[in-house]
Amino acid sequence: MYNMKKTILGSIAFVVVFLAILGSCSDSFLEINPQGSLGVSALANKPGVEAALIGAYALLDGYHIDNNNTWPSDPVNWILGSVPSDDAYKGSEQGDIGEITLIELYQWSAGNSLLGQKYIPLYEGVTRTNSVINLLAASGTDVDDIRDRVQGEALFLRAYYHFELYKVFGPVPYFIETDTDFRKTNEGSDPLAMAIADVEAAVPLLPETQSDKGRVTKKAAQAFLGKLYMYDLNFDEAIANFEAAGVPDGELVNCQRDLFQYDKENSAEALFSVQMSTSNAAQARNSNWLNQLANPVGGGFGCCGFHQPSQNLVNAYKVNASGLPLLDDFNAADLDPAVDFVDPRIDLTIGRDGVPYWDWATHAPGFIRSRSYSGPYSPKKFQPYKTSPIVAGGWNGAANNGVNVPVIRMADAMLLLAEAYVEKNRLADALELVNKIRTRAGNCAQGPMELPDSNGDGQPEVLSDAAVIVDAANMNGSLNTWANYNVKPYPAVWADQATARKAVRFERRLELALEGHRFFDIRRWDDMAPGYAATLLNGFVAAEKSKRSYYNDASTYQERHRWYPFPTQQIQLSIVGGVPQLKQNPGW
Amino acid sequence: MKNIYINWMRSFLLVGAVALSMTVYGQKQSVSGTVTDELGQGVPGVSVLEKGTTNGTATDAQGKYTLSVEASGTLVFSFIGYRPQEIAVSNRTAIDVSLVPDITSLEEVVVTGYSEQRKADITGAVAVVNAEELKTIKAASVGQQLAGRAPGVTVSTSGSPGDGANIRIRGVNSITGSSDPLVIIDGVQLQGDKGLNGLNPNDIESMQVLKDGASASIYGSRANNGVIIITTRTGKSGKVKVTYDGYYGVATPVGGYNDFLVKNPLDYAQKYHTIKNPSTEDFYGGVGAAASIPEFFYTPVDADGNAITDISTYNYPVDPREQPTLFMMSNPEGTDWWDETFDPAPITNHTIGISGGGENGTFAASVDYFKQDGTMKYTYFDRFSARINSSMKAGRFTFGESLSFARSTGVFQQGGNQNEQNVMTQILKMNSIVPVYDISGVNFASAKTVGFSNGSNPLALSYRNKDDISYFYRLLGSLNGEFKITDFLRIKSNFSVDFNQNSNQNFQFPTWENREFNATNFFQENHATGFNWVWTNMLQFNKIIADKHNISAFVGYEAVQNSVHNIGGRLDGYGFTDVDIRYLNMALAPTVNFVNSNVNGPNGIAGVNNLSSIFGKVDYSYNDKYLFSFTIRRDGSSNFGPDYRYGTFPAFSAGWRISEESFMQGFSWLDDLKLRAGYGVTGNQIIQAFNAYDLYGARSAYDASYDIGGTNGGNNAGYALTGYGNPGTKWEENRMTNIGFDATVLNGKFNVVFDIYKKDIVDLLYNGPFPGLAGAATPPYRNTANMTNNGWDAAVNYRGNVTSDIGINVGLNLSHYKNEITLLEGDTKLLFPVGIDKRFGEVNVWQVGQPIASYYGYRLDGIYETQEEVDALPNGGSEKIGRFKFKDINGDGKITPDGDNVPIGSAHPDLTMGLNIGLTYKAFDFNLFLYGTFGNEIYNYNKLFTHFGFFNSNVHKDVLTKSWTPENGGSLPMIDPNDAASLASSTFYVEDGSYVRAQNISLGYTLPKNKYFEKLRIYVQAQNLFTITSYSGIDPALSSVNVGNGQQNDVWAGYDFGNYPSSRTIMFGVNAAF
Repeated sequence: MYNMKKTILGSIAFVVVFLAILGSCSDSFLEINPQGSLGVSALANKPGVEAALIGAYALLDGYHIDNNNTWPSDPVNWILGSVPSDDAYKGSEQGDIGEITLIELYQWSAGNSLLGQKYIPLYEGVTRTNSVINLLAASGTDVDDIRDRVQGEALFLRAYYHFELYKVFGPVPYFIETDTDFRKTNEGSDPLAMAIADVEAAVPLLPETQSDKGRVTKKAAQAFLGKLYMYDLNFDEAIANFEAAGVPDGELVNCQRDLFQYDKENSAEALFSVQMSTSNAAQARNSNWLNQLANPVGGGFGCCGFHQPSQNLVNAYKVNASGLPLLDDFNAADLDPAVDFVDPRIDLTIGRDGVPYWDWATHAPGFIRSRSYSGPYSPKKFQPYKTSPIVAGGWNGAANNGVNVPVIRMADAMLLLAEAYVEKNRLADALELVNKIRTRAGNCAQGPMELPDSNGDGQPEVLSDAAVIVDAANMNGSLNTWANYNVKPYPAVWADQATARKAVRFERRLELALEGHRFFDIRRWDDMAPGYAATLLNGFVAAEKSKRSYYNDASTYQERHRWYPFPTQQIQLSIVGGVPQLKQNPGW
Repeated sequence: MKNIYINWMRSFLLVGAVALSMTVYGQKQSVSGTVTDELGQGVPGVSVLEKGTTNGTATDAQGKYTLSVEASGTLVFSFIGYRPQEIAVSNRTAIDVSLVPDITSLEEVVVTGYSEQRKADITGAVAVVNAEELKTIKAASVGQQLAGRAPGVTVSTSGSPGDGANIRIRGVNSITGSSDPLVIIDGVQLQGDKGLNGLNPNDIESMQVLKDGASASIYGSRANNGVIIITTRTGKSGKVKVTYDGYYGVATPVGGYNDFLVKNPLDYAQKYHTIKNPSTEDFYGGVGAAASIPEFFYTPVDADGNAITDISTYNYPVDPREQPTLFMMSNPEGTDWWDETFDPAPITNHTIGISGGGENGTFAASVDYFKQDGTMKYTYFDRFSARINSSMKAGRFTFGESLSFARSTGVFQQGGNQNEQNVMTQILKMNSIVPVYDISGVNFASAKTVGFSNGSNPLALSYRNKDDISYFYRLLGSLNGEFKITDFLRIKSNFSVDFNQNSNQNFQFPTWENREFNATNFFQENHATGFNWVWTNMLQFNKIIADKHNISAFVGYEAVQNSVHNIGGRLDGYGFTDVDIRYLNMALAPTVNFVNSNVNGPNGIAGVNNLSSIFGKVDYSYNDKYLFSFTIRRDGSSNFGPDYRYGTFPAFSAGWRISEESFMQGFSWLDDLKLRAGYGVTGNQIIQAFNAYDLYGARSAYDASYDIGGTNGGNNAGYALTGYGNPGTKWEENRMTNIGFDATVLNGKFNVVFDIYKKDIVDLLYNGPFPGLAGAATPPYRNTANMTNNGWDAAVNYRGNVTSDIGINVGLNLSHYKNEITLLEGDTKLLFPVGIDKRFGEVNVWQVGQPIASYYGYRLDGIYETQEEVDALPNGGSEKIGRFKFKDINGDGKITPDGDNVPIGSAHPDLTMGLNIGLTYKAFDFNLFLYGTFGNEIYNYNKLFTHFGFFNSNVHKDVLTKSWTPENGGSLPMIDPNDAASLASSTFYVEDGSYVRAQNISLGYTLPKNKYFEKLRIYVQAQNLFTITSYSGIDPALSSVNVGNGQQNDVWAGYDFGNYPSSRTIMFGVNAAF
């Protein structure tokens, strides 16, 4: 019996000791470092900070997560900045992404999922810039030689992402590196002022030149600051910054097309652009992936036929015999290419039947998915040459290319500066800038793709660029069967400020068409003269009803369309104690 | 295995006691005989006792006994698991007895948490699943067999061979990857293995489901979703026994989309397509009645966009990177895409088992081959598995081992089940004018024409996927040892491992024939290796003191590690498509001639999760009448931050066997009645590993990379925050109260179990979206919601004989629960879960006061019939005569998404039912099993295609006849090219999902025992013979497995987006024992 007890007690003691030993191990047993990822501490050094900065730039193309095609976050802004304007229709065919139709017809709602697809990727960009700033602050002296530059680039990018949010949603929360509360309120938020402050801070930190073409320079930041001040309606500061950036004497490339050609991009005119790449290693996702819907459906592209230019835009390119735009009655009759004179920029912007579409093919009905629905025109500006490297991406055979998207280019800055001059009644200064743009517009035009047989081998001569884009001397030559090109500078200063304003804004439309500015410009001009947007856009819709039957279903542009509604989900997610911290915009 | 062993122990002890007290009385004679079981096999160890005395013996290894008794005496034969029998000796000298199984035996010992208990002593809610009934459903996995077999247990699975099953115990308890119950197979702990495909169902010997907190909380943090304990077959001492079970059957599709899709292309063009898409008028030669079917619907175009009509230019190059020149002719008859894609398919299974043992050891081994072809062409699942279990005794030591290996392969539905891109949905999408093949007769055709569907040829999709085989290898093993310190004290140790290796591959063919064609070809392959181990050590105490105080208790320590390592990669631009070259080998794929070649990967991820626990349990019963049980477990999990790492999970329960009270002795019809009540807390910790840490990296080669040099071809690597950490995330807890009773009446003929329960699930773990300001980094799992699951479940069994030839057994089980969200993170009122592409806004909501994952949308209120109605209720400008009219819920006089979208139903049923009816007549046996679910709704997402022709899909016949017209009205909206409003999420998509299905009907005949066979039974069986439902889709039994992003199955339960339907199977089979 004694032995038995001893056995029991011994066993219990054994188990207790055993448990105690195992138990004491468990704290370290339960401590496991993350596998396959890096923690913050590993990145607070020069390579880490530089890599995080690359990550911050990477959101410029709007694309971040696979299987998550956030089409509205395309930096071209065609869904939220072009389709709801008078420049373009949704395109494709009826029913294809009906939520874009709702945007187009001013039937906006907070439930439209496209809005969240703009909102989140931009804040992802903001998050990444804040990461850079925090990592930089946490790094030691080894980053001192890059500290200013990195800080400047990060601040600029943070301002850019917030400004994109501001253009769409207006009073968004401005999220900075010290913020940790994702439910930060937008009440009283002035993102435009904050963005201006960030860029003001960035300018002195940035170098004049950068060895990497994709990085922002001081000059680009200053020009961008000018643009922010234009949105702020602060014309004096806008002029000061544009002038500091050298905009009045700014350099323009010889042909607008050069901005959208691989071998000529990142020119002096391209102050800051989103760099698109056809890198194989990134499965086309570093290309302009999110713009792939806005390709013609035929002609060798495959998909998808969105973002079709409107008849109104086409008509805007009509010019009179003097090569000047028809500011007031351009839309009285639709373009008749057989008789009308046109600005050659029409065929650098818009694909239309009978006109060569770069070097792909002559634009024909097969380019368009549903002509009776959305008209006969294709987008053209952001399409590369057929001979340029492209990357096939999934279901879209030829859609992914490396055409850069300008964030701010010299012509954009010049026309904004011209606007500011007009508001300051410096009409002659404005005229000089507008005429620079118009003069450049006369330098080149779409050519015939191929030249007649000249060496007698029975084959046409293919002279690549020289045939695709022809110079002024050849633009109305014998091979041009599709247009009477004519564009001239304004011969004299405008009669008054109102005329000048109209002419400058019209020029801005022609030069920057389909680059995603138009709708935001219209709302900006509405800020200067409330009612402007409603008059213009509702007039456009009314006139368009006879051409596009679905416009009969359109609602009207109203005061509340000044800002898009915040997505319902974002408002719900911002609730603290039952109260949404994200206040919905008025009227939604 | 263990319970059998314990049975043996008990029998031996009993025999020993009897033998010791044996004495001799009066007029004696010797009686001998053989005791056999229901299979006619001798049963060793049966207690044979002379009634009213202590005179007795036990049968030997062959079931034989000899006993000297009074000639006028009565013998009592008893054996655990069988009904005791009393037989008068009446001067006979030979008495053979055939034992009758007692399914309601109170003496039955079942495995619960870490120990065995007499069923009679259980105070928690434990469902003992009848393993034999389970096996009557012939299926690849136990998950598929379990539906309706235990009260409170629901199963969601599809008709796809080898498909996983979502087993849910008492409603939805967790939402994340851990929403599956903990499954313990011979001590090996598995969680989140939806297939359980590595387990041969024929090996199952017993199965218990721990449903409430009181019974499950011994498993603490892994038990929020209940626990299923499976033991596999072990050998018995005695003769070596060989068994063979096999069947062969044929599955046929039940109903298909061809029941309702428009087949005649001319009808489709004239009555629908040209009206909906006026732009296709050029193609069809006119709108409406003017439309006609052209000879060719697709011809290539030249550089200027002009059609090429010379079919001799047709060319389909061997090199998959070269674009072909295709021509496609219309099929004026219309193609029946369902019929082209589905065919009858065979199913077969063969299991050979061998078992036996001697005095000191037993063994059981089996080999199994299972193969099931899918009714969807080119899909299949097969498995080869082998198992050996053994047990040995050496003095005070007992050692046991269980080892199984399985290799499964399968080809599953391309595009995944329940996915817009899968084969099922392509059948809905593909226009019937499209033939299966183009003019070559061998290359696939598709809707390569403007205005036609953007879908793929479903047969092409399935065919090209036929060699994309998934492989699953799994080794499960456990080793256990026990040392008996004294009669009442034992040390036990169990070490088990789960080693699995899975791989899948995918060759993507170019789809030149599609309108949105894919020009690239690629091959990708992924491998995942998992290694999980569990080591459990316990000290166990069992003692009966003074015949009245029965105490059993144990304490233990357990360590668990789960680890997974994945690696995969992809190459693009293969020059050939042969199966033989499908390897990740740079030399085989991209060639310098093609710029369109990509390399992605390799990529690798890893996860590790450790758990460390101490636990203990005390069971006390007084006089078999008052039962008490207390358990406590403390778990530490590496998935949480240091401050929230440990959780404590207590439970308490009590039982009162009223039938044992003296005042109940007058109720002779009442065999047993036990009241039970318990409360227990369980937890959940299965979230992503490293949830506490902010993680930097890049999700892909493009996520954070950028061409900073502006070179057009560059790709500078970058880093970004990819995942937010939350060190403050803590345990999800499930606090559950359960009250129930077990009753057995009329000599064990009726058996009733009833439980009512209340669950408060607090701090529900979910990685719901962060506010947009957080960007796109993955949100951490957080304690997102509180909810309740209240309900009851009940089972009634009857077993009896009408005559000596006719036996009946009937089992009915019913379950009900009600789920309600009571709190959402940050006092949010609504949360829209993520996980699927949403084509028309939010369709799913979590809302306080509503069941979790409710459908979300408008309430349909007919059609705008008049201009007055239109004017009275604007809908953002989209209101128009002939379109759907929605209810103005908030009464503001207009339809707005924020104001008028409400929860409109859910997948949670009001009642689920399983009804099993068995009849035996002489050697014949008949079984019918009905499964039913009532009061659940289905969100028929397919209506986006079948009723709204999204992406120019084919449509339901109703669209041609019931669409609204000014002349005739109609119940569907007017065919209107500009109508983008009617397809909004609404009750139009929501249907009653109730159904009753004959899961299984079988008829068997057992041949008389002969010198060749111990037993030979042949049977025919029909599965899924009929279904009664009002659901308009093809199958109301929807799978929720891996819907959405694969981690949130229950969030998307009840949505029908192309579910692989169940088939009807007729089979013939044999059970033999030698």
